[in-house]
Amino acid sequence: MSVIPIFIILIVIIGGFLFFQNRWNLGRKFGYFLLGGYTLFLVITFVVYLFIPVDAFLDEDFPEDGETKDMFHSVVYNGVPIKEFAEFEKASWDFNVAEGESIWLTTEYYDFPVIIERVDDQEELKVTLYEMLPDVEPVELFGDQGEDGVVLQSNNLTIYSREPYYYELGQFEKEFPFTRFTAERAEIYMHALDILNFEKLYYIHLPEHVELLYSPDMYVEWLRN
Amino acid sequence: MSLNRVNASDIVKKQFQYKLKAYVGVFTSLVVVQIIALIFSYGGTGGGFSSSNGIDVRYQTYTVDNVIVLTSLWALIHAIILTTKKDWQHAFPFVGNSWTNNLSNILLLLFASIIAAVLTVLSAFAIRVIIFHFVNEDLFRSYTFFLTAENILSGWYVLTFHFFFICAIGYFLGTVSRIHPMLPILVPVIMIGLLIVFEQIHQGFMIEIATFYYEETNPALFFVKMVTTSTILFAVSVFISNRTEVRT
Repeated sequence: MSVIPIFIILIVIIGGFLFFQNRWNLGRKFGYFLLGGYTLFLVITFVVYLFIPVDAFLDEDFPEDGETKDMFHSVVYNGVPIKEFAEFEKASWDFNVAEGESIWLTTEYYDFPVIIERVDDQEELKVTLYEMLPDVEPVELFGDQGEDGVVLQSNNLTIYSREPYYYELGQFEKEFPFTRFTAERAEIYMHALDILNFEKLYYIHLPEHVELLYSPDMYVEWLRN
Repeated sequence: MSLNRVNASDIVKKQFQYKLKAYVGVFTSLVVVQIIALIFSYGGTGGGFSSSNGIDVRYQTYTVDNVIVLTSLWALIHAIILTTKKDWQHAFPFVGNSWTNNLSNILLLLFASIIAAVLTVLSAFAIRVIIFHFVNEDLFRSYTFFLTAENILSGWYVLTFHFFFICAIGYFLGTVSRIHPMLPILVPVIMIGLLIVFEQIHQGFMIEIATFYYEETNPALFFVKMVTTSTILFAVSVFISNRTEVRT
């Protein structure tokens, strides 16, 4: 908000207040009554504040460092089987692919990590979407937000992604004068993504007889057996 | 002629008590200013937008800055008003002189600063409660939401001296303005002009001054800096006031 409207509103309120104070001849008692009433209001809010639970905050749900689920890192670098993350499976798509075919992998709208695992006992190409959403509900937006989907057409395997989830969050800044003499300083940068703990990835079970091609710009990791 | 001997401290005490009643408008306007500041704080004082693949986050930052800024403005204006001729003449129902009048004014400003600091610190909780219960946003950081006892004490301590310091500046400017009828117009112009000139001569001058006072991390040194500067400003004001005192 600009400074000028603030001062205009300030002048209007103070001017109006002084006008009515003179018109109704509000005296000294009213002044102290107002001060007392305001102080009482602040004291009541302080008491209410004391009852605000700590676990009402998002960062309280966020696990300590090293304890995050971090699907992509766990699967690709730590060898954790993707089955361990079955609870985050959102959707899957199966496609019949003829032997010896080459498939070109592309994405539409947004890029997400893709993990590919070669499987020798499977004839179908299977794409699974894993999505780890934060506990907090996203804001519902007007209009079509699209949906996640995978389409195989003319040997092009295209991953479509829905519009990003939208969140509105608030934070308080604890700075001057509250932290003037202490080592703590207000952390006003966000870390929102850490707190929200959001992750979305596609996992492809690729039959032995199918060749998969993709642009080097894509974020693709192969699992080495 | 009265034969009663009245000492200065009694006069100052009586004048202070009288002014507490006479200048109730100081506290009334403090309440109005703080309510306005709380209303403005409801919309947040900053924020931003972060976007990553698959997730967009708009965040709003809430602070008590609006309350501090507007209350500082209130302190400056009331300190200036106390030095105006009309208000100056209010001080003479009692036996006294310019010295006792100034001292009772300074006591009133100190008292008002203490009250303002208490209310400003309490308003930090009011903002938190209002945002928590009435704004449809999830708050994602508990660390900056909750204030410790140390934070509260620090806030009250810093704000008391901050408002008193602002009062000293206002009192000084108001007193200087009384030297000549042209000065109420010239003083602000000269002050702003000097600040601009100093800033041009020595870049970062204003930041250095602000840093000197407000980046002090030692409570005792903060006290010394604030009280010493305020005392000098009040002393100069009293000196000027004594020299210009003409009561008609």
